[in-house]
Amino acid sequence: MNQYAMIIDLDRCVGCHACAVACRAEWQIPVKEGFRRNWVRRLGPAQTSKGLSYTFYPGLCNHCDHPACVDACPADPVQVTFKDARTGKTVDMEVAATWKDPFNGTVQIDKNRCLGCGACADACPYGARYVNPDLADDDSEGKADKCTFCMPRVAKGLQPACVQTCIADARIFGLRDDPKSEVAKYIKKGAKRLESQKVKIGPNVYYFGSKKDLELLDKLETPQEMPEANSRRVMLAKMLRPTLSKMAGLGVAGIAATTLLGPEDKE
Amino acid sequence: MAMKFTKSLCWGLGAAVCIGLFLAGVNRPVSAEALAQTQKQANGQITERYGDTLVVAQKATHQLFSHKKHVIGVGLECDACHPDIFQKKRGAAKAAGDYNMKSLEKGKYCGACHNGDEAFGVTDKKDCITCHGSNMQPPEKIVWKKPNKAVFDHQAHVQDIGLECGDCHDKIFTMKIGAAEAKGDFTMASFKKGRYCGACHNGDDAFDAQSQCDSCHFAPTKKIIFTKPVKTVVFDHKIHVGKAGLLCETCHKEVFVMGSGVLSGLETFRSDDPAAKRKHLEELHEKLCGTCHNSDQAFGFQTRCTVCHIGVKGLKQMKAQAEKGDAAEQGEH
Repeated sequence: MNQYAMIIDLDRCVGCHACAVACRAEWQIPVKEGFRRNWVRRLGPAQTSKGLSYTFYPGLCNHCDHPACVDACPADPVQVTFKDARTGKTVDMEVAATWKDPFNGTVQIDKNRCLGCGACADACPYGARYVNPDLADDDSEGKADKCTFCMPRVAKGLQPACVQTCIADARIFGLRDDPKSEVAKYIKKGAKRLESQKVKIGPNVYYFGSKKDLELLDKLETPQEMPEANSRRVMLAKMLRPTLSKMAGLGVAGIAATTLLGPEDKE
Repeated sequence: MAMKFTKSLCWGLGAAVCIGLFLAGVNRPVSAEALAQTQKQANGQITERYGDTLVVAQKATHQLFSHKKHVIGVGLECDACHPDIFQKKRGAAKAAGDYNMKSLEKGKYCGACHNGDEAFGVTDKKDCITCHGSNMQPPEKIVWKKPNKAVFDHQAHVQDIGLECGDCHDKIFTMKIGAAEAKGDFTMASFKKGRYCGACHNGDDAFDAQSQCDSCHFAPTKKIIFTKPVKTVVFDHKIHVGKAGLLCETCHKEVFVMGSGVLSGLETFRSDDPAAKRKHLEELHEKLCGTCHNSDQAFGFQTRCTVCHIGVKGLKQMKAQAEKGDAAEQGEH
């Protein structure tokens, strides 16, 4: 496998958000709170041990070596045969609705089989996924979405939308394991992953820049803990529970509710 | 009358909705990605594209449980089952060791709802198929190939002896073809320690696994040609097991202990003293084949030498015959 990766050169980034806008335009991401594949956050100005820093955090899915989201997917697994269009190689894998591509290491979602439960979004320590409930179909409550590393564009020989649009060439995309690639050279020069002691899942977006900027970025944006599973949905469910329990006394609706809530009532 | 009217109204509405949906579908702008991702080919094969990676085939795996059915179909919230009934971790229930029909019947795991009241019960025979799929028939016979060929009569154990599935699955045998063979300890030695078949076949609950070999194992059908300590000594299991009606244990318990390398360790005896040589050969015969071939139980080893010692020429003839005729008669052991 040759892993696709991205370098973000903070020395070049001017924080213009063009990358985030290009991504939204390319993939028609609705403009709504939390709906994004690509983002830019302003960091600082703040004092660091190496001096005053004022930088940016352009972020996207890290297409991790050991993605937490893939293991979290509860969709019914299927046996899939993947084929690399370039080499003709095939690989058989049992996958849920999201997986790590066996040829290029990107993490992809099968929108047809996604249940929209949000388990993957909750599992990602980088918050790279979101669920769009407007895309709900008969089989789901919505669809999870995230950066695909623009694989459909890359297959046509193009750069990812965010990379192509960057006015300062601050985003560099390429093959991580090819020593001749620009990405590999940056990694050799000291580009850093946003990893901490407890969050070591091999993110493949690397950040390069001055020491003070990297220090601020690391301090503010590197996740320190793997997310507790489904905190959002546990909270939602707890909010709903008292209302539903009351339904137990309401005749037919009550029977339906007790049926659904059977195990809960035993608590 | 009113019923009829309502019915036709429903039809009308339904048709209107369908047309509406159809039109909406036609007019809806399709995102570039959706177009690129899913293309249904004329031959019905699904090909999804994730850039250069294509999905060329996709088939359902046999699953006992479907999240989709429970969450989307029934509308259960995650916390209806997690984490009180099932830990939110793949394989956690299986690892607990009691994830079987007996526990379900007691109201654990699936049985918390599937009790015949809130949801279909787990004891109702007609519902087995709902989880276990249409092929609920247990295999009649299982033929194990590793580490040695052996046959297991599933039907005899379930129907004749009356064992329940849960008696062996999944504690002793994981209910998956090849699961035991994949493990390194699926051996007679393990049985002796009470693992696998040895859980019952201990001489107490059922016949000792260390006896009655041919209940499960087959004798080799191919003739054995020994090359040590002398060349071209032929032995035919067929005659001994078939015509002579011997049991495996008759020879393999003490004389030719299986896997002991009783013959491979022997070297050709060389001596200038004919008497010493003769004595050695007599003793060797007495120890091995001579146990029975003593002119009493079977022809004596001092007679009819060429029955076994076929010579280099005999071997050649035998090989030629084998190539010509019964190539299918390959060794099974």
